[in-house]
Parts: sequence; structure tokens; C-alpha cells
Amino acid sequence: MTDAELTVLLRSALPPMDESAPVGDLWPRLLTRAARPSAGSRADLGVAAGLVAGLLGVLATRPDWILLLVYHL
Amino acid sequence: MRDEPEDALLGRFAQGDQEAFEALFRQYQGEVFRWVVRIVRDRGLAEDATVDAFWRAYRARARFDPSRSFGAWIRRIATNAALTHLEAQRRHGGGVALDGREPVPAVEPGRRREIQAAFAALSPRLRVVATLALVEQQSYAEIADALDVPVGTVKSRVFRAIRSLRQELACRGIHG
Repeated sequence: MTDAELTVLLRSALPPMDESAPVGDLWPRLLTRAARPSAGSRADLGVAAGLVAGLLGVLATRPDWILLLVYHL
Repeated sequence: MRDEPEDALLGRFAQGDQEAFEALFRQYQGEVFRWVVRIVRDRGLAEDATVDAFWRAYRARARFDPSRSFGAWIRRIATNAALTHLEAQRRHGGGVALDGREPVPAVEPGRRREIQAAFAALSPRLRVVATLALVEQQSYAEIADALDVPVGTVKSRVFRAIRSLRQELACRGIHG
């Protein structure tokens, strides 16, 4: 099968898309999107929560490290 | 839309002016949607990717150079947003959407499904160039600009997409 034949085959099963506009105005959806916390900030919060939990876990098993931590803060 | 020169509007956008952003959104949303829908081949997904693209553009506004074309810049962002949505669709087991400009010509349904499955087997990165170059027949230069890669990279990806498609089709007993 040549490249041209493959292209014809592909276009026969996947015709080019309709170029019409979106059904409605997308601006309200953008405002909704903007009001949502980003995936990045959720991930950051998750990492921060994990670090705090880990730190608390370590301090629970080694209370003597609290003084060391306070010294460094 | 406000009646003001484009460069003034772009300058205000880059400084974070929300009115300028809304004006640009309304001016370009149709164009961006029409580009994205060609890539993702699904109107609902294209609307999501269009909204996502503008949101990304707004967050990246400080990096936009107002002396450059907003259309070209948002198209690059939209192409990346479309790619992200295709990757998510693939992770969730979605296939190739079938929305087309015209009814599918006389192709036997079983054969059509096999071709679509072979196409869906491409990685999203190869699918984007295959869709734009082979189905939508966009120029390599236009695709390169939208992906922000050299034309040679587009040619290489089209070559790899064709090779993969040919192999997939052969596995499914389609040889032309």
C-alpha cells in the first residue's frame, strides 16, 4: 500500500471534521474553569500534606528531634 | 468587542486586563475551536480543550509578547491542550470519535471499524500529526508552527505514523 493509498483509506474511515463553530458561547465555561482550583495547586497541597504527615510521624517516634527542628527554625 | 487597535488590546491582555482577555476570547474562540476539533474529532472534547487552552493562555499571559501574533500563540497552546485531552481520553480507554464533515463514504462498516482501531492505536503525539497531515491535509509548515517544532520533526512523525498504521492495518488483514 502506498502512502497515497493509505491516506485515501484513512480519509474513507475518518472524514475531515465539520468546521462549524461551537454550539454556544464558551466564555461562561471559562469562568467556571477559572473558579476551579488547578490540578497543580491540588497536587501541591497533596505534597505539602504528605510532608507534614511524614514530619509528624517522625516526631512521634523521635520526640528528641523536636528540639533539633526548633533550633533550625 | 472594544474598538481599539489589536496591539493595544494585546498589551492590556499581557498585563492581566480581564476585559482585554474576554475580548480576545470572543474574537478567537471560534477559530481555536475549529482547529482543536480537527485534532480531537469530538465536538464536546473540543469545547473542553478550547476552554482549557484559553485558561492556559491567561495563566501564561506574562510570557506573551504583544508584538507577536496572538492567533499563532493561542493555536500552539490549543494544540498542546488538545494533545493533553487526547492523552486523557486514551488513558480512560476512549477510541477515535467519528464526527465527520460528511457521511462516511461507501466503506464496509467492519472495515471502517478496523481502520479506526488501527488509527486509535497510534500514540496521541503521532495521532495529532496523522490527523492534521493525512486527514485534514494541513501543510507541514502549519503543523510545525502549531506544535512549535521544526518541519523536519513533523515529517519524521508523519513517517512514523504511516509506518505504524501500515503495520496495524496489516495485522488486521487490510493491505489496501
